[in-house]
Amino acid sequence: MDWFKRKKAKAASQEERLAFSEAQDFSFVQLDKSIHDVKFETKPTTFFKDAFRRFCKSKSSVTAAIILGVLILLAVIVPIADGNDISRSNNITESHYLPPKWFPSGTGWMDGTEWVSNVTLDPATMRPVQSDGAIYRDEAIVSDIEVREDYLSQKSENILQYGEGGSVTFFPTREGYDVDYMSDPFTYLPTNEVVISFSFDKEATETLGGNPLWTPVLYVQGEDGQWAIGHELQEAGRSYEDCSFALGEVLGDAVLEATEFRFGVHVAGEEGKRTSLYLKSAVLSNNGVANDSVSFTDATALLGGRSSNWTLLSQGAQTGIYRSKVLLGSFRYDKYKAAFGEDTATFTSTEIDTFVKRGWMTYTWGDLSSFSLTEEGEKYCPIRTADRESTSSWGDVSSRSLTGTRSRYRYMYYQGYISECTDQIYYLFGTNAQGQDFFKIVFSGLLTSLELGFLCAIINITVGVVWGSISGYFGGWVDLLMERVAEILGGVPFIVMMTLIVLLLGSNFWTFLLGLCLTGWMGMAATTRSQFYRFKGREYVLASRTLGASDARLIFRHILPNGIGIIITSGVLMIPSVIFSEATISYLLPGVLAFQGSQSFGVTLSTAQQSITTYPYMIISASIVMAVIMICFNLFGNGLRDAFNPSMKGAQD
Amino acid sequence: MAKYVAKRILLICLTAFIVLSLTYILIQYLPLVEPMGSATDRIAFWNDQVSLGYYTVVDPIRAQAGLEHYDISFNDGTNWYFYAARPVWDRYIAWIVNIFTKWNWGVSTNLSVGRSAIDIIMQRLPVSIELNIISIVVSIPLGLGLGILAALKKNTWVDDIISTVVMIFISVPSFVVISFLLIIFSYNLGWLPGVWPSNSQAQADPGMAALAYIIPVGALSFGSIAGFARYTRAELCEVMSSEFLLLARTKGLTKTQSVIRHAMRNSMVPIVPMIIGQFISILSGSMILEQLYGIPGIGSLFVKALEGSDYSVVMVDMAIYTLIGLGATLLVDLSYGIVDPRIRMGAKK
Repeated sequence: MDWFKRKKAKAASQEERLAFSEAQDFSFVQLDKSIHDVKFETKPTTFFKDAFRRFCKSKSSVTAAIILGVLILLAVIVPIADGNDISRSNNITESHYLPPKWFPSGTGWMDGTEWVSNVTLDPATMRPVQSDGAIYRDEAIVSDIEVREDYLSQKSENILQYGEGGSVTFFPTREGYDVDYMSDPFTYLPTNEVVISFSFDKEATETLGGNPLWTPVLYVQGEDGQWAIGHELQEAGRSYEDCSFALGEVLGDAVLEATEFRFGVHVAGEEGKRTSLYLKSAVLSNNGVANDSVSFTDATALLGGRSSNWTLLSQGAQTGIYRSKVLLGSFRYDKYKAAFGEDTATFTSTEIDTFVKRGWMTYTWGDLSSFSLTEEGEKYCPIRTADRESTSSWGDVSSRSLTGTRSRYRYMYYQGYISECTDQIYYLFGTNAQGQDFFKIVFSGLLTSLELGFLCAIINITVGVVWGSISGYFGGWVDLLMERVAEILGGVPFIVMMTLIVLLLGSNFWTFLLGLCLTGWMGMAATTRSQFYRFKGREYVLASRTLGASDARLIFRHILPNGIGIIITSGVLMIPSVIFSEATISYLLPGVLAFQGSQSFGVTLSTAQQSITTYPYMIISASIVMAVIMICFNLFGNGLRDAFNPSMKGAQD
Repeated sequence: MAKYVAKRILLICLTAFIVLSLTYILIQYLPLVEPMGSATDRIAFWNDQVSLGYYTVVDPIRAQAGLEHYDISFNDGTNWYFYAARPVWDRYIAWIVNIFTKWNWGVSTNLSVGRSAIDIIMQRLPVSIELNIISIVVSIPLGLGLGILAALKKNTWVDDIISTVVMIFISVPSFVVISFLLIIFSYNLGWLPGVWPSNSQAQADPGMAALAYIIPVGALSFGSIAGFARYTRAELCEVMSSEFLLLARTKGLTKTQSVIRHAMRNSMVPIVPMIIGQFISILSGSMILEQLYGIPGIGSLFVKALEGSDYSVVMVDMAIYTLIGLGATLLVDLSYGIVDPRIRMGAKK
């Protein structure tokens, strides 16, 4: 109830206030004053100040402008400030394709390390196998090696050398061919008790091998020196159980024509099939003792040439390995440590002399113990220890060289690939196929693209405004003619136009600019033309004309300034579209259309694209920079448009 | 109306003719490229060129003596053959005559030597058109839907999110989108094929062939979805604030009714022409995609033909792009009249 009363009282007091009372509510403002112009109390504002004030209200546009400023600044500064060499290929292969590094090693993310998985391990040392394709330096393996066993069937060097077990498979290259696989020769004396035993991978033979028809055989050498089947130890069959044959029993009293034999298996060719046998082991024992020189129990070792040697009798047959046990290791690998660490290298006498001349080291040729580094050399000298001196002669020219420990980061610094003599190098975007700093490449490319964009925008706007003004102001047949010319030029697809120009005039910055400007002004011309159609009939133009203003004066002093906002906005929005076109076209035809010299952004993207599967970090970082700059330009441009033309505010965000 | 259309078509034919003539003449000034293939193929090719009127045979004896100029010379093992190009203007006339009388647009000199350029294009055109139509079909409902949603929920978080995403997709170049799609869905997750399957692969595995459409269609659609959404939102916002919509509401229509029957129909006026325009921009945008994804369409053909300097193919490909582009502008202009009765051209004059 209380509440109701209060409300009622409030309403009553309001009514009271609303009630009309002349004395209270009205007073004459200028009753006895003389009326004259009063100075505005508000501050005068210009067109641009007003636009700037409105622009600042849009937070996203201001943010975009700031990011844009930073990126443009980076594009200008990075190519100058970053001293890493991107004009030459770095000849230290370990420094190629380094991943991005932002944080010190060991932080786990973006620290220049990579998780390397499934590298073949050497069972003896439990370290990764150093094969041609990939070399893993011990000092750069920064985590424990996770070991797992795997059974692999590829006949690769690593597996054959470091795997074990499994079974050998052999098969003809064409359907229906016989295959014979046999041991090295052995001497058989009937007085000895010789037993041959085979064991198979039964399941694989039946499923993958296609049930081959096989025979255990002894091979003898004919008079022509060729080996051929001498004795079959058993009827041909399709049983793949482990089996053994005592030669004494099988051969019985047969007369042996020789003492040298080979033993092995014969697989009969069958029409329309390529059968193969999966042989786990074949052992020949002599009086109960295995003859290791002809038998094998480890198929991988056999194929890898680490035990006895077996040969294929048939031409055009192949062997393969099946389910060899391999140890695979996975570990975290610090690619920066590998690239900037130490190794053993040979320095030429010229290099050594240069080091001495620079005061980095002292050395007398012929005396290894005279090697010492100076204080400055401690910091810069690429050679750290001297191990061996050698002389090589080519004809009558002999050259001396010194082999020793090489510090690779110092060596790269000496070569000029890197700008600072430290192994704590951070490549923010990694390095590319030539070991060049990708960060610098991206921003150098961006600078080129920005230059192209700015120049193009200036030319296009100038041409477009002049063209559009003339066409719009004069109208009539001039307009019609100019419109047709624009239509024909615009009718040629952009890429065609670009290609023709580049093919005819060569591929460089200026032809690109020409190609981009040849059709780029049309949008601006159309906008200006419509502006002129809108304003040329206005009274102020008529007034000016009656006062005797010339056409040029009317165009440039009276009508054109109306469109200054639109011109600025299109200028800003034209830059990203030029960058876009350039990138697209260089990306599309890097061979034909990319201009070399100063590498453009499109070329950078296009080369990064080629290693998208193997080294995606390059295309990712370049794409992000590209995307950010495009987004910022567009946001900034939209902000400008809204600022210059408040009626369009938010229309096309 | 018919008179206007006829006039426009005539004008387009004229423009196309001038554009193609210009292109042909410019291409003729490019360094000459000899066809690949064996000597007999080449003799056949050059003799064909002679019979079509582009080249003349030069007497070997006079040519070797240096008495007569020649542009092409080769040896089939026993004899020397010399040919000289006729002046560019003569070649141009011969080209026009050949097109109008024999429909002969030249033969490929590099990609598949000796085949008619028209054949090659026609074989590859369906894939490009198919991809473009699919992505247009996908992007129209999505783009319009998102645009309408954003306009109806203007200045709420829904609008903010849609506008931001649209902004990003409009700004980011399509090849960047394609790269990311490939990295994520093909190489890392392995869900989608990383390259367009060949005909035999597609027949063997129709499922994979269907999956192979996802990345190209996605890459092509993102841009146009964003474009449609942005444009629809802008148009609808403008219409929504107009007086006739207020009138519709005041006379008792519900919001849904007023939006669907009045606002949407009016905002469609500039959007329908835009859809047609988008079709063209997709067609040219698919060039990069076809190249990256290994799709055997006319876009990748154009790139290959340029790289291999196969100018007959380039010429026909250009002709197609030019005609599609000009045809689209005509359709855009006509569709204005169809969608919006106020600007029906030639209706009264």
